[in-house]
Amino acid sequence: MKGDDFPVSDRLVAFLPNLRRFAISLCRSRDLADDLVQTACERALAGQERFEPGSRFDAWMFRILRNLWIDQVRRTKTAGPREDIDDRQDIVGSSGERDVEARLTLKSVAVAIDELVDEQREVLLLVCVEDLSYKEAAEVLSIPIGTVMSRLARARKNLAEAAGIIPAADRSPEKGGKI
Amino acid sequence: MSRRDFDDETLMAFADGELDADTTAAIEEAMGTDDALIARVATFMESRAQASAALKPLIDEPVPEALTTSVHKLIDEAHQRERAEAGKQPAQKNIIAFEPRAPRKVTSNWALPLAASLAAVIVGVGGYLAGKAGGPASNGLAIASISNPVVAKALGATPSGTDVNAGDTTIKFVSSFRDEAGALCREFELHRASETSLVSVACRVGQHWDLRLAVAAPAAGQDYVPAGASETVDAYLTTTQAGAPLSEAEEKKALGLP
Repeated sequence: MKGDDFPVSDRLVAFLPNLRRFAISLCRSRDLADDLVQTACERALAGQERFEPGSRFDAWMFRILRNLWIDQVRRTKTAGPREDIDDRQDIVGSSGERDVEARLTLKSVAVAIDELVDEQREVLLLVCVEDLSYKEAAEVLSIPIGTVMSRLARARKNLAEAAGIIPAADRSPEKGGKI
Repeated sequence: MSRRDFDDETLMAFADGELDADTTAAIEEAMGTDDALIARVATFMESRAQASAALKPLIDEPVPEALTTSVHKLIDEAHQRERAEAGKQPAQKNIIAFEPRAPRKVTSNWALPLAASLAAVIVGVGGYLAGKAGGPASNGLAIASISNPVVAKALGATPSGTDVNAGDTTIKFVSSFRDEAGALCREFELHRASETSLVSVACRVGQHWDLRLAVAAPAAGQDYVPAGASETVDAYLTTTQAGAPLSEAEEKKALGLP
């Protein structure tokens, strides 16, 4: 890295809103998210010589933050309540209680995103919200592109179902395809 | 024509503009005759647009001052370390490099983000609606947009940039262009008082106007007229390789106007 510029620190502050959004969506808590963002910034600054100028800064930051989050999740795994990824396959009320009413009612997209299993939510965030390519998302998440695609497709189908994102062309007359 | 099956991942990649040219072409062709395929692609386009829209407010949320302050402090400290270490050998780069983001291809950009409030839906590609006459009410509205004699007549007689009023309906003619096959096409908007607006594309086939695309936009007055509707139309135009908008003179000639 050249000593005459500080690409990481220069871009960090401007990127905080994006980083924070990713963190909030990842850990579903603003307090946790802010801590996470701060730690991620610290890591990024400490390792800024590892950032390749000309490469995608956002992907690099997301990777740092996401890895920190994974570490944290693993560390707290046995300490206190946590949600089991596999238990979240169904739509659950935001209180965590299964709620017939909630299942019958279409959810807001934000709630539906929140209720995706973690592995689907993070890939959805990276590709659909942060506009990373499949390849970039694969690198952030350290998974093959094929896995990115299958998780992402499932995430979007689940989202569409939960939030009622269904093209009118797909609605049958019986269901009353009202625009 | 034999119908190819496309799996969800492939259709999603198509919607995201991540597919190779050959498969993209195959899907585009299949979409011309396969309504279910259109719907599946549309679901992927919309899920992306809506996910993006749903989380947009978080970006506008002010970053807590404490966080910004901490980060500024971290940066200052890093700069100090940086200066202290200046002159040392550069650290080795054992890194994963992210390629700079390539600009999105425009050749088949179905992935154009649809705007937030867009209740919008591709209800027709390649005359899809024509086969659905008598279908759901929503389609009825779209059909009405060209089966209405006033609209049909106006399509063939109104220069772009002109509005035509018919009862409670205003038809705004946006532009004219030629499709890939050379047919004259018109983009127009149908505004009806307190009802869903439609942004449509119709092309002239013989003496008739064929509806190619109708995108519903939320009723005027509610929020704003979403840019997304026109983005969807743009995506459609790009995909179908529509020609550039005709000039005033070209349009007059094409419409046979004096």
